[in-house]
Amino acid sequence: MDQAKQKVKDAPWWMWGIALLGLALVAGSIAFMLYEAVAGDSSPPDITVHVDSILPIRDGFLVKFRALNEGGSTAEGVTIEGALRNGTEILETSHTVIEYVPAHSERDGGLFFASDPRQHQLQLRAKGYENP
Amino acid sequence: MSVAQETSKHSFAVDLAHDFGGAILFSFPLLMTMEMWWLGFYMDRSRLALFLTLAFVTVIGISYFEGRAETFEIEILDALVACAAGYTVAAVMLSLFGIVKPGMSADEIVGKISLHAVPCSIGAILARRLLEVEETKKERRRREWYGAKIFLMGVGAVFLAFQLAPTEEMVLIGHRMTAWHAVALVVVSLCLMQAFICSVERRGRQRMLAADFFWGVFFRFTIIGYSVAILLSLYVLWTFGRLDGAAASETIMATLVLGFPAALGAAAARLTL
Repeated sequence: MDQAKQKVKDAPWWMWGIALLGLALVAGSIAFMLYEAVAGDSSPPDITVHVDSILPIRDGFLVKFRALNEGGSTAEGVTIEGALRNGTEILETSHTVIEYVPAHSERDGGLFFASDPRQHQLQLRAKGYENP
Repeated sequence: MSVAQETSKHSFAVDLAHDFGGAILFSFPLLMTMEMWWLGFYMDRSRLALFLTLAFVTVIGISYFEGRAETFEIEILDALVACAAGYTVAAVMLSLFGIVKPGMSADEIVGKISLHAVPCSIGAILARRLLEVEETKKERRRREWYGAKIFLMGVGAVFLAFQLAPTEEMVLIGHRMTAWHAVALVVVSLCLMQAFICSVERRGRQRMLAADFFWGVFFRFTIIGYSVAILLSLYVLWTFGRLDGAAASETIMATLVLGFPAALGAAAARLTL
């Protein structure tokens, strides 16, 4: 028992510091999760797609985009579709699927086209998702 | 006095090194599993908070039952240091792999790091037992308590169940199995557990199949251990949302499937912990 008490006194000050850090991390993450559970945003996914750049590549053109989820829930399997229009006529469509777009986050991707998107009207939108 | 301080400082620093080693060694498969990363950002927050709390209590329990017998303050200190090491390893490894990047929302970053910190912290505190041999008689007597044995079986069960529960294969295997397969799996799980635990509890006894010993072990350890493994499997599956919207039969099948590695983990814990 005496030896054990000695050990408590011998524990170096930096060990107590690390222990306090550990306590702060554990308590902090639990508190943050509880806060998110109670007061966090749990609205459905709200995805907008923005064009970052349009580049010519060897086999056509690449439209780089960002899909931004402003909603409070994660969207899985988000289908992004891009359509090239000339007035009401649709010239070409391309699509891709993004695995996950978490809440309040964005993911990047690209769509390939044969015609030059800069010569026509380019419309990008998210078509659908599933709940994880 | 100063010599004592020198040696005790050395052993604390060595403990910390063991913590980091254990944290990486025990958790790198989960650090490299994509389902764990995704759960970090989409799993239900209140379930994650509960999971983190129970994991912290488990780390304290392991600290109490393993390693040198010390005052309660030192056991708590060891547990907190192991948690700090666990969080650090999780944060560093996830950053290294680009799973956590600046620009991600706070919710995503905290969720990913804290979920991965659970196996890292448990690995850190277990490392003290498995990388270090020094142990007092008092410590060994602590682990002789029946409750301690069951608790450590639970730790083993949860550790293996945790490795597999995030992936979809548990539910998938449940779909492919028929009820007869499930019954056979339960029997196989129980037989394996019985074999492992009998060999541990034997302690020099010559005849393992003596009826009183065999059935004593079966009712005191195997059945209880398997029940604990099944309950923990159910809890872990629920935590990761694998049972949401599932019918009763699907729930039971997935639990029994996960119960198999959990049972092995519980039995292995009797061997190693």
